[in-house]
Amino acid sequence: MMIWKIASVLWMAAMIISTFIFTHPAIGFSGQTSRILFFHVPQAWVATLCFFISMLGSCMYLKTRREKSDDLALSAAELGFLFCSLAMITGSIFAKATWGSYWNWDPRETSIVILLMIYGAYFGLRSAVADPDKKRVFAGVYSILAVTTVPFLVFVVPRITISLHPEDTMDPSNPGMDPRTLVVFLGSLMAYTGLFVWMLRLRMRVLALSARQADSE
Amino acid sequence: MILWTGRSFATLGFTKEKTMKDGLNFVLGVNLIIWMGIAFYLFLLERKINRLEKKESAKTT
Repeated sequence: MMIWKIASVLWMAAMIISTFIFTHPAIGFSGQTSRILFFHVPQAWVATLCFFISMLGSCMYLKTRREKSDDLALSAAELGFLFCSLAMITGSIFAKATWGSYWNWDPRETSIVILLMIYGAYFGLRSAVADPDKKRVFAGVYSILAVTTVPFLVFVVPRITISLHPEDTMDPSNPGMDPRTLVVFLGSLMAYTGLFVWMLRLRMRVLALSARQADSE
Repeated sequence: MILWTGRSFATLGFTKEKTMKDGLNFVLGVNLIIWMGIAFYLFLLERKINRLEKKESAKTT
């Protein structure tokens, strides 16, 4: 079990080094700003993955009423919120370097804020209901409803409106990405996914432990 | 650009390319340090959770 964790630490370190040493800045971007792609896109990918896993956990909970499924839904939503915030921060750094301002109310920036507000409300709902069973049911239903907005906000809105966001970075299979960059990019996606799995398991174990401690008290 | 010593950046070895490379190396170093910090924290957390889980299971048995 320890081996894959050490491997993912080394893998991520290798990806960070590769980002700065083995890739060239992309044409059409100012200076070295395109390198942020190797951090920003995997963070956004993991955030989307988290929200779908949260929905899956909620569906499982509503069907089986097992606490572990609710723990999965909550942990995934928390990590989704974290990675979504990181994607927003790295995006803002890119925006400052490219367009001169950290925030431009671009459709993609606006949709990520709405997404954060939707999942912020999920945590608000969880903390507002005192009864644990009711809380889990309400949160489960909300999580399923919330995830329906994700494809719309992440994939549809930025594509149907005029956006400052670079189009090339949205499609990893774009033939414009040279093979070396593509390898580092896909490697970075894998590294972030590994980090997410590790963090998710840790968070679920913490939730299970605190539930056990609360039961014994 | 002339420094207060009267010598240009280029004569001191600060070419545009070198400065850019140094900047990239600095960002690379910062990123690596942040990542190692996160990984170290996760390993510590894991150890702490293992210890607490053992304690809990000993309590129940």
